[in-house]
Amino acid sequence: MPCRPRAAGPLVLSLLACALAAAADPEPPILGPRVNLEGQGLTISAALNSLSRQLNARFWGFWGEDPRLSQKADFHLKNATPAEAIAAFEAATGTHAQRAQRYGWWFRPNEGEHRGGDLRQLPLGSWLLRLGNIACEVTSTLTPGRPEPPVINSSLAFAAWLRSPSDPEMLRLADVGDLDVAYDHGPAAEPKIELSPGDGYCGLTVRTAPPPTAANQVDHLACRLTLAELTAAHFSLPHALAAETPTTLTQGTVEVTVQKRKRGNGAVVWVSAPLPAANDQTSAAARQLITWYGSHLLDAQFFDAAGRPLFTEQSGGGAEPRGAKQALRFALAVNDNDAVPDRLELTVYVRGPATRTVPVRLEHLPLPPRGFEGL
Amino acid sequence: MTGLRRLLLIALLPVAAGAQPRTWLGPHVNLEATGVTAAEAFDALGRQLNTHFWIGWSNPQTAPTYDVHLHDLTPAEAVARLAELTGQKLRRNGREGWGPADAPSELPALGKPLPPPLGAWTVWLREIACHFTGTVSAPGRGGRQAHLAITPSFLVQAPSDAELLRVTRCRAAAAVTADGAELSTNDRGWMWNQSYNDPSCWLLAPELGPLDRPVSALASVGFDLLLVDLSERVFEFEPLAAAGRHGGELQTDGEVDARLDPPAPGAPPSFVLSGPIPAGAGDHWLERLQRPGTVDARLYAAGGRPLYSHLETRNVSHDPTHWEAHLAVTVDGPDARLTPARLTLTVYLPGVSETTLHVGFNDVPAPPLPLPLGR
Repeated sequence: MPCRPRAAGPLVLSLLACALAAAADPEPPILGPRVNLEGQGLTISAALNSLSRQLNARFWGFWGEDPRLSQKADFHLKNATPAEAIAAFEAATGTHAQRAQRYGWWFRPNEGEHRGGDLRQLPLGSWLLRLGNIACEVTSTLTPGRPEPPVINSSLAFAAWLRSPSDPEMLRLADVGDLDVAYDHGPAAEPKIELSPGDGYCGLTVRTAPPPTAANQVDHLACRLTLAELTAAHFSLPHALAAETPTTLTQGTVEVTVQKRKRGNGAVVWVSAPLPAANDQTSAAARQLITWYGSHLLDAQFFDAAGRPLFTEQSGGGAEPRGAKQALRFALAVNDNDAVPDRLELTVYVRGPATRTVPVRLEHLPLPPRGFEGL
Repeated sequence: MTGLRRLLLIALLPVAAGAQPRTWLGPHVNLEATGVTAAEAFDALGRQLNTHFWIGWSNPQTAPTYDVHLHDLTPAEAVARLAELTGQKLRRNGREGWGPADAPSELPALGKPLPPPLGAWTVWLREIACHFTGTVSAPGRGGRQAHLAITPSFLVQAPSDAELLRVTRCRAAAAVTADGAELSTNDRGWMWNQSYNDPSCWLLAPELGPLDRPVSALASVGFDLLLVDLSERVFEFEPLAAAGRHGGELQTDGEVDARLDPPAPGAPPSFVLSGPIPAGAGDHWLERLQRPGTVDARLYAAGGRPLYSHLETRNVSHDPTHWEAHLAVTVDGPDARLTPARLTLTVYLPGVSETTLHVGFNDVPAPPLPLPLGR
């Protein structure tokens, strides 16, 4: 794991975020789609079309006759992860990408108020921790006409995101624990973490009591990620929408049933797979992550008869009884103009019992303004 | 003799003009009863207001009884008075009705009535919050920033759901601090149509700022309320069966036509309301016309007992000169098996032009803010 060299001086202090991931367990192979796009002088339009289809995701931010679409760039993506592909597209177009749930990415110009940039980034192998900002907030509320004193609430909040190299890799995230925040004058009081799991991203908001007046900086913000073993079960259904009756396929402990929808180009998929029990978990974060995992463990994409990947929308993921089992029900729909779907590729990601831990530690972070002095 | 038989109900004030000076549109509650249980009293009130009280009542054989004297009250006043009398804690759940609450609903302490013809209205200053945020982010994302603003929270309380249809929007929230600084809002901070889960109220919480230091008081704080005229059009169909004999029945007051459809076996009474679009009315007028509560449809049993009635909008259409709405009304809840004998339709027709009413409070304390923040 790369670690920036320590150097003296206040400017360099901000570079002292060392990733102490050296103690982390070795990283398993990255699951999820791989992207290939190699060529010199490719138009951005062609690259956008190829990458978005391979990723089964929309790329927004380029409209109609946008002159950037006809600009040319070189791409050297061979068996690249989605994160690597998005980074290459950002670099070629001078944009920064913002995830729009599972549907795709917004690419915004890297300028003005839309300019990207993090307060700090911490590589964690193929994962990345991004610290967007640190905010000190205080609200004082008074009820006019009543004698009660004002109610004052205050906190220090760190807004961070954890980015996985692909969407399914985020399914490994099983817990975030051992939270530890300290100022240069001692430990922070009452640190708490809130998770917002998403596709390829997990928002991490850490809140503590405000720092003491004498504190000059955050000494460290540390936690420990628990990543679960993950395996993929692949199913391929040629002529998937030809049959009127349901098709059931089994692989190990995973069973999928595909039923053509009565209207439109799409299908309903029921997935039965061994799911960890949320109520067996001791931490609220782990319980939340299991619930999220259950509704995101399927990755589905249709292809036309020529093998071209089609934009396939996926929704649902709620549990419902199916026969003697509980199954997760997903709805698939092709949203690709007049394309005729043929083959359906399904991948079900199954968590195993083994886990590895990844320590996270950011050091020497600046404190935000706690008033108007010095601004 | 049951409690219900002992009830002496004075029905809603006659809707015909001239019966009594009306200070608000919508129900005026009048309820006189002796020796009734809370369940009986709330049922009688619910029938007047056509709203349900979803409360777990105690055994009628052992329940305490009350003498009820409610005279010419707004719905909110009547509910509050009856809740206080019977020791119930109630909370309004939108248009669905009233349910149990953890604590008695409590109005804010600082309020002021509006001038005639809105004399039964009250605008409350619920809270004043002072909020400071200091943020540190990447230089391209703003770097070190501090933001301080004041958010007053106003509750606009109309005497009835129908009366609130007069309000079209709010704007121009502003404040002047005790030392003369003028604070205004922007659209993003101006929440002007939050229902407060009560269709007779609007909750407004505009963020006013920015400030460069905390303030101790506001010389003034307020906003503009934009209002339209509202006229009440009432149509009565009795007996309902007569409409069938004549193949439907049309009533008109010159501006609104109400046509009761011939009854169909097993189908609820359905009707069509229509009228001209006034000169100068734009899309906003049509939007106002379609707001929930514009039409009140009430069914009555033979003998005049109000039945719980549920209005269903089936279709609304318009051309450049006319509007038309197809609706149906069913007997609801505990009355579902009863046969209605009379239908009363009340249409609250909005005017075209808006008038502006400034609502303000003077010399209001602002909450202290402990800046710079720290311990």
